[in-house]
Amino acid sequence: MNKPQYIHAAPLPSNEKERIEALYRLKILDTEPEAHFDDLTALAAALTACPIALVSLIDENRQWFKARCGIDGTETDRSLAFCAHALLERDIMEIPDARLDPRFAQHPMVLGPPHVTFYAGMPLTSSTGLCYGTLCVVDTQPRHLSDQQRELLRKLGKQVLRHMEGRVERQQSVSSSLMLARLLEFLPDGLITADLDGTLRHVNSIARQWHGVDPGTVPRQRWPEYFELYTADGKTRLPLAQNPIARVLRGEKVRDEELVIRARGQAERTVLCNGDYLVDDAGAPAGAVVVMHDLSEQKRMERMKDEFVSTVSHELRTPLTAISGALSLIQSGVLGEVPEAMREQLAEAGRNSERLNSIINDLLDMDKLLAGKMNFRFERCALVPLLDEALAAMRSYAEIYGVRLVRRGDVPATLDVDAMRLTQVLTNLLSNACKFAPGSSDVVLEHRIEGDTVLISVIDTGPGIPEAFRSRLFQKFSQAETSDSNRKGGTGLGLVICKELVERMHGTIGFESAEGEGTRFWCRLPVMSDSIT
Amino acid sequence: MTTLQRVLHVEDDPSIRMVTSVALEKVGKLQVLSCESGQQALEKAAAYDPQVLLLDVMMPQMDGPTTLAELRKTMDLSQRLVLFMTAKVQQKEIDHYLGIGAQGVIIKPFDPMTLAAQIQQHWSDFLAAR
Repeated sequence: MNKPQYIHAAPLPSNEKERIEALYRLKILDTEPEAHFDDLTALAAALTACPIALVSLIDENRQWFKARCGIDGTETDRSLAFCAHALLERDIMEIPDARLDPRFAQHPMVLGPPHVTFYAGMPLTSSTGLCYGTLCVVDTQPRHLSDQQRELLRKLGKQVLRHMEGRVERQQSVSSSLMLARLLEFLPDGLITADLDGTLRHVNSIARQWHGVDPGTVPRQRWPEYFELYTADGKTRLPLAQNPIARVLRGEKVRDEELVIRARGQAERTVLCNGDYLVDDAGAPAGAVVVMHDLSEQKRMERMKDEFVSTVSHELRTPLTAISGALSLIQSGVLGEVPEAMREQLAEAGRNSERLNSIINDLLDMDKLLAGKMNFRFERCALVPLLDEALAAMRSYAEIYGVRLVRRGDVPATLDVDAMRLTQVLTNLLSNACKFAPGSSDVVLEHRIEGDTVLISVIDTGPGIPEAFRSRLFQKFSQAETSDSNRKGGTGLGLVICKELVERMHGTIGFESAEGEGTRFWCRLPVMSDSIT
Repeated sequence: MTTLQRVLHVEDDPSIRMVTSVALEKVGKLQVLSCESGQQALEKAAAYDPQVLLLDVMMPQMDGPTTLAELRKTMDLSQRLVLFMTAKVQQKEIDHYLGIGAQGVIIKPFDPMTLAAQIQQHWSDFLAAR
């Protein structure tokens, strides 16, 4: 900062602060030479027939040359810069003979080498009016630019400006695509993209690892042998036409499809594939992207859960069979008279072993339903006998609660259902109603034909279902969330199971309830058309 | 009409063996030979000459279906009723039991008060179909 300042240095432009910030944003100062700028500078020299041409950028303290021809230095002090004067102009600043200009007559570069005599500088000004520097030409002889040369210098200046400003965007796009490629490498999922012709573009590290090869160079026809892809059952090798990338390139969308990768030396891997078109900036198809998510761990957990449930089923049911069997043998009296004092306790033990049994059944049913493993045996069933059976089955249960079971309606109808599953739904609804009905009240099982459906209702005059609880009624384990005073025992799975069962039999289920008045649960099932008389 | 008297019961769980024996003997007035394994059944079956084979499915060493296959090698089963007693009663499992020569399945947990009646029902169906 102690350098001697040339006394005729140019004044600072009024927007100097913003100008400097904008210049820094270009990230161009002190960068290596670039062919674009060198070429434009050489053109400027040739077209104006000047020995020297420069792209000069003015920062706070100096002028720095991004491109230069006919001169050796790379920068000078700002106070010496002709260009610092040109910064203040809107158009070309032309000095025909510096020796005659009071601003430059004593300038060391005029008096000594390189003997600047003629100068013409085209300001490089952004669209927002901030000037970075100039494209300038210099001669050692006094002279003028022709009109044509002035026009050419303007045009070249605009080119320089466009390259300076576009340079940032180009670098940003290069660095963001590098960043993206790096991100894709870190992705825990496998990702593959392909161009329209099937050339693989990105194969991220996970995808390479899972396939065991870098398939980047594999031509499309040979994908099947390199990718080791199999259908979800892990048995059938995936033909080329079914490869997710090939499908996307054909115009299909790939959504949540399971495939198996069986790369050499690796455990079989089940992946969930999603694929879609890539589009370019104009929205035109540009290729395909497929993302693979590893499901192996999830599959392993599912298998473990299935095994666990199956084990629990067997391990719990066997002792339960013995307990309930022994209890009912004792209660029946075949082993001898049961003393009066023990009867109530035995009955209690019996009821609780029944309860345990139904909880286990609920859990097993739920598991089967969720896994889609519950089989239905659809057959023609007469409805009325089925209702009678359900009622008969619940009679002793109702007695426990001191509730009367009543049936209403006797229009015959034939349904195409699994009789056992429908009975399960009805007994579940009836047992709920018994639990909540006041002592010595009626629980009604009613049916009526409506169009081509039958509406079966179970009606109680209990306290009704609290408003806040209604939306959760058909959700899993909803009982677990209720306060103790509302709990009536059970897993809270009963209604969830009913809903699944009814829906699997092509019906709907629902309820109406008024607090303090009672509740009506209903299910609506299709009636076989030849059964309505 | 052949009256049902002798049931061979194969079950590894002692509690279930006991409840089943009591249910069939006291409630159903049937004779029961209880075996704790398939091997034991193979040793005793011929001498006992059972009319009904009541087999658990899941047993260590030799499971129910294997026991049935082995018994078939040592005795004529055509005049004997074969029932599996199991908690594994999904449709495809039941189809499997029927496919390997059983005439019916008793579902666990069973009601000991009606167990003998269930077996009697299978027995009369078996006689009728013969």
